[in-house]
Amino acid sequence: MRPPAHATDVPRAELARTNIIGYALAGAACLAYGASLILAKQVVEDTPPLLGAALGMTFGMLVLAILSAPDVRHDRGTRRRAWVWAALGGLAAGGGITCMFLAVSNAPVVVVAPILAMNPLTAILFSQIFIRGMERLTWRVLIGAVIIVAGVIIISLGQNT
Amino acid sequence: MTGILFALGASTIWGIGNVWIRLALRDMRPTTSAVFSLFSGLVLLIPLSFILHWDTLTAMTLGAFVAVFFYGMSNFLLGRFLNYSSISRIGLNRSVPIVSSSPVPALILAVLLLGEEINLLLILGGLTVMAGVLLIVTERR
Repeated sequence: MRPPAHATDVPRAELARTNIIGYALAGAACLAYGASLILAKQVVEDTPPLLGAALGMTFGMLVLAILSAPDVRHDRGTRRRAWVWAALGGLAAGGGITCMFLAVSNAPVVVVAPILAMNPLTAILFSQIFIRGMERLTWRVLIGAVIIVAGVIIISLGQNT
Repeated sequence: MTGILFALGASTIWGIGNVWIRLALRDMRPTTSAVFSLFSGLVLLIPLSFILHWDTLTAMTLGAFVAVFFYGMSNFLLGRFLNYSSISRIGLNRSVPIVSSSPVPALILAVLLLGEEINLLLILGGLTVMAGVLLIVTERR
């Protein structure tokens, strides 16, 4: 017996909608980070990169905290574990920025940039080691990620020639 | 060698950091995760940058602060919030490669707004990135 239409179609439609929104959000994040790379060129003319990142992060956090105050209030009762993961994620982001500046100041950009571009592959590697149950990885996504990393490396080489 | 080790460190730390954020997003909204992760990141960056660059900070002009403000809005407010929102919907493995394609829009903006020159390698790199993004986005789930 076939299940009722709503039992199969609705979740599939909802999944498709979630996917479209998720990809659109990823694309928008990509645009925002791309624009920030252009703005960063302006920032580093007057400000040391590490200081620029710290101040930019402070401004970003303050404005986002004001805009999302209701969400933050709503999440106050969230399990402590989630706060620990978010804090570790933030420390990792800050630590990564620090390492990136130390790398650039100790080696040529043409050497450092391709290594930094590997970041999506390390994220996928760690997701498969630690949260395999939460993250489905297909060959298509893995190959897509490898191609993207290759493209970013080619761009960084092109910028330094 | 030191520079390469730091670069490997950055790539590794960012990779594991994304996993931690994915875990946080199971129970927490992207906005809250973004605010709290920015706060904890600052715990590391503020002391370090203030110790190293205090003289520059106290001598910064209003124009420099304005530039840093817009950089912060683009990277740390919009970028991080949208990135976490995307991870919470399509997962880490699909979101992170697309988000890390940011050199492509940066390249286009640099050519359009700053009049920077483009060469064959940049075009080839941009097309390669777009091929990878297409491969991921067109997957049927």
